Amino acid sequence: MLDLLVGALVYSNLLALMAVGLSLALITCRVSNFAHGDFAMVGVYAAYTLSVVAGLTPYAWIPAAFAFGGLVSLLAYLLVFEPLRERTDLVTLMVVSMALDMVLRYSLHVYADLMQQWLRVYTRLFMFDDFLVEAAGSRLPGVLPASTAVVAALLASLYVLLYKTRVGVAMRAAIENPGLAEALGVSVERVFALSWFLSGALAATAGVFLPFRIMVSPDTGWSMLLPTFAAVTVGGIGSLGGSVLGAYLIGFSETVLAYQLAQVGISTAYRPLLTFAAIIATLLVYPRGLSGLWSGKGWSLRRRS
Amino acid sequence: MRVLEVKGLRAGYGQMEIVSNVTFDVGDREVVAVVGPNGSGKSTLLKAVFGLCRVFSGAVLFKGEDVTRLPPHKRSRLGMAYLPQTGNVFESLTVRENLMLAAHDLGEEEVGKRLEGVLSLFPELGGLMRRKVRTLSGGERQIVALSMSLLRNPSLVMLDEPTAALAPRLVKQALKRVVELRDEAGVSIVLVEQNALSALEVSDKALLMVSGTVKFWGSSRELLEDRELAKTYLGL
Repeated sequence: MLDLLVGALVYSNLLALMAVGLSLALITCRVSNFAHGDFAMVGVYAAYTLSVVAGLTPYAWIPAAFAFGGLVSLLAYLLVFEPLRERTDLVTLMVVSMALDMVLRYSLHVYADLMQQWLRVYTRLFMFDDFLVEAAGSRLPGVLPASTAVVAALLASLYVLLYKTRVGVAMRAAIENPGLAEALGVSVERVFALSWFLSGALAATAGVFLPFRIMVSPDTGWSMLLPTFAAVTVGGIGSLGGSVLGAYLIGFSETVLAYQLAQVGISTAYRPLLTFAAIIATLLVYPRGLSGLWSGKGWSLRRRS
Repeated sequence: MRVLEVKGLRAGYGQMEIVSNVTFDVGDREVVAVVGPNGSGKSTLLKAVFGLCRVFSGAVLFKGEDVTRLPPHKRSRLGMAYLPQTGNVFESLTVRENLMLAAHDLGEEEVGKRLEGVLSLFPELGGLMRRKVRTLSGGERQIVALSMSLLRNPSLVMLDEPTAALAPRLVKQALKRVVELRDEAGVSIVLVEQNALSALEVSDKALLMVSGTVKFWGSSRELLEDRELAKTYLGL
């Protein structure tokens, strides 16, 4: 049971970072970014490469993964989404993000091949070695306190950035009404670029924790997309606070359901069923998601329609 | 030197031309009213002058500098301010945050100085600082919007129907405020207004637009005295 709770909490921590990142892309460019999972894998391979080369634990390379993921996401914004932002519709942007996903995913495959050749390590279906911590008579995997601390620190920093700094006020303003922000001298392009950097950086940070729990390959990011979209939808599309809440709800429900399925002898391959059901039920019953319950108050950023 | 010169401007959205061959200018501390029937392209003209819609041909000169191809945030930094008819404040932010945003590229000392100036023009703002804009009345929101523009110390303020959200009894008062603004803040003003009579009474010059073209350009008094134009297009 303890292992189940640990698994659920770690998984939810990752989802929270992924979901907040995805929400940032959604509320700035209104793009349902299908390449978001690849930013997580950029973080994985950045940390893996550096840890193999320098011989330190991947935890030590979280800041580097944050920077790499942010940089890739920033480039995606500047080269792909910014030129298209005002020129095309939402469906086209979504299709473009799917194309970007393929480009990034197969680039990661190429990188994995090169890394395997150069560094003589497995670059597909690998896991990171973790440390154990003693707590209340139990031995817990280090990824639990590490991911919890990192998620808490990053979300708190993001909150401070958005609500206590001038840059944050400019970000919130540009998200709510880009035209007016531009009219007041705010460079919306720069503000959105920062949002995209953070979006990729958060996903990449989440990625570093993944191989501590499951075996990963360049395609793992794709499989993380469904629960991430579910967290964003259940939490309320475009709401950062809602995305965090949605992530913990989806993370815990999915983990517990998979456990229950295994208990009654049903394949855990049906695990995504719950995630799909959560998306469909939310869209049918209460499309505003959990954030609809407190919309307009607290940590809720929305763009004017 | 003229503060604003618009020469043969043709503008619109996508491939659709809404404003055709519009020429006018605004002098220092001058109030120019842009009037005309609904759908005549008044708001599109302001957007085109500020760079918010597509310009097909023509030129926009601000203090002699060609700004036709500059993005809006750069025009804003040069001293142009534009207040849209709707969505002219950030509803999810507090009044203070709205004002801080308008002054986001200034040093703290400068912000304090300019804020003092704005508060002397609109003392009622003082008590609203911590309130979210979404909780304010239409009139209070207009004051916040106007204050945001003034904080940027503009030479030119373009107002798109500033009285639209106000009760009829407040319209004259609001437009009188616009003239006070010209006198006290020393700015030039382009005023798009549906309430033609009130706008013409407070402005120096008038631009009458019909179907995207200029039907009259001259002194406001002249337009008021032209019974035919005033009756046909302004219902006066």
